[in-house]
Amino acid sequence: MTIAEAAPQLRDGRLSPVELAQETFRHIGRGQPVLNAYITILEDVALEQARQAESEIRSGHYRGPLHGIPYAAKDLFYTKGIPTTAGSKILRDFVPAYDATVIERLREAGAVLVAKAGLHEFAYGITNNNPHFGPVRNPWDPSRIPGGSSGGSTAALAAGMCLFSLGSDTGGSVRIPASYCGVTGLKPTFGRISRYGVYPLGHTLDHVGHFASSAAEAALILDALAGPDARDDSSAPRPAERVELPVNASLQGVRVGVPVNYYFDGVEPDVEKATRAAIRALAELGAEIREVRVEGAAECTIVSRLILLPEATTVHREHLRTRRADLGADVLAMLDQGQFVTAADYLDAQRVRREFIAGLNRLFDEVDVIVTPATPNTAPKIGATTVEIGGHPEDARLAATRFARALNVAGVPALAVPCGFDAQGLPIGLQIFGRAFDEAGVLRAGHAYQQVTDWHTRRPDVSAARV
Amino acid sequence: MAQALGLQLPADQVERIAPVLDAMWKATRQVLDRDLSAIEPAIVFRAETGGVQ
Repeated sequence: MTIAEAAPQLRDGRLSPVELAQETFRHIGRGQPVLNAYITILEDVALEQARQAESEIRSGHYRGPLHGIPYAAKDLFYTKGIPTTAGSKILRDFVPAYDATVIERLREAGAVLVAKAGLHEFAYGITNNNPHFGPVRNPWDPSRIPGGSSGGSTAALAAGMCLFSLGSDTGGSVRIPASYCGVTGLKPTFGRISRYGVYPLGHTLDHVGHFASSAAEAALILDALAGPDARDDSSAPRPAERVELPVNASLQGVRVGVPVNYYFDGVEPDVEKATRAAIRALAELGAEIREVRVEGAAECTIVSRLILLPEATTVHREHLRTRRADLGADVLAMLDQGQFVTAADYLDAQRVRREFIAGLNRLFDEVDVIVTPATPNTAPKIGATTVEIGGHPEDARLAATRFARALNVAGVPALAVPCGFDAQGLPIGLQIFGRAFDEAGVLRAGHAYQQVTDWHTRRPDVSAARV
Repeated sequence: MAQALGLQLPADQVERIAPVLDAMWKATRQVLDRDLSAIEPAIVFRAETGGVQ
């Protein structure tokens, strides 16, 4: 079931929030043993919230389209009285005394929290092969990674273990798992959604994002989450803007940029084929397709590591001093690498960042959105540290983040939507990004595309899967 | 370099991360080895908030 299907029934009393929560827990019962998508399952808490939603709706206090909708939150969002591990051994017993702003806002919207979802340790990686809680598995093929770091959130959504979910994106951690798991994921503009009560990774790169069954549903969730928050210095001081998506699917008058550089280099053939087909679909919807050069994309992607590595290391410096043995090997290696980046290189990377953003802003005078593959490949096998794309071996993490990282540096909104499957039956993702604070533009393009395609409606048969 | 920075890293960890850092430095030098001084870094100190934004 999707939000679009459930919400009208909940509003009209044809479906009870309690029944919907119970149905979701039946999916969790089937999916969790296969996928390990969740770290903490909150059946009692969720059923209590569902009963409250039922009572409110019955008494005429309908809060809106998320009222009574079951959701999961990546386990780095602070939840008062509920463990929040950040996927780490170090925080295994950490129980926050307050809720993250987004958790508060979803409670106000009446949504029902069913679980805390698995992630790469401290959100620092893309595999979700977590040494402390076990690997999260891809619902399309459990021998593969779901992508990350928000992989529990996407595996769960694809398997029907929630109707939407929260994630975070520092270098692709919303768009990569959305692409690998075949769901819709939105990384809004930096500052659009509060980060208060979200365990940090990179202070100038972290974005809160979310996953849903369609761009239209992602827009509904954005409405609930967005807006200024005095408790978060990075929160943009601009009011939330309700995203209205037109009923008709036309993209008449919309200028869609297709990069002639970087974004189609080193891409699996099936991924390129599906992406090109998606671009043709956008053209058939009336969009004007323009070839563009995204100047500095490769350079910005390279130097983005000079920003993330030291930012993450400063978050975890105390852990490096006192808890080295409790960190996973891959995360520890990156945290150690961050100690070697000089302040001069960090600041020069921030100069390249400004240069890239200026170029991108000029480009958005020419086009409204830009489309690329979300990832150059489909989901790799669990444990694979390298992947082979076009016959060339490449570090799996750097490959997965190649088309994502520069957009964290730029802070612009980016949407990943399913656009096909490869020969092995694995989902392929399309990335649509736009100018800062134009979530409406990227969602409109994604929504129109989903009006004429059905990739986003496909779901894996987890009951047939075996680990 | 670890010694110069006063980092007490185990030898096997230095061995593990050294090639990664070498590859990264090689790639980033190609981007950074030019005059960037005229470009303001994308983080700016703001006196009114006491913050770097």
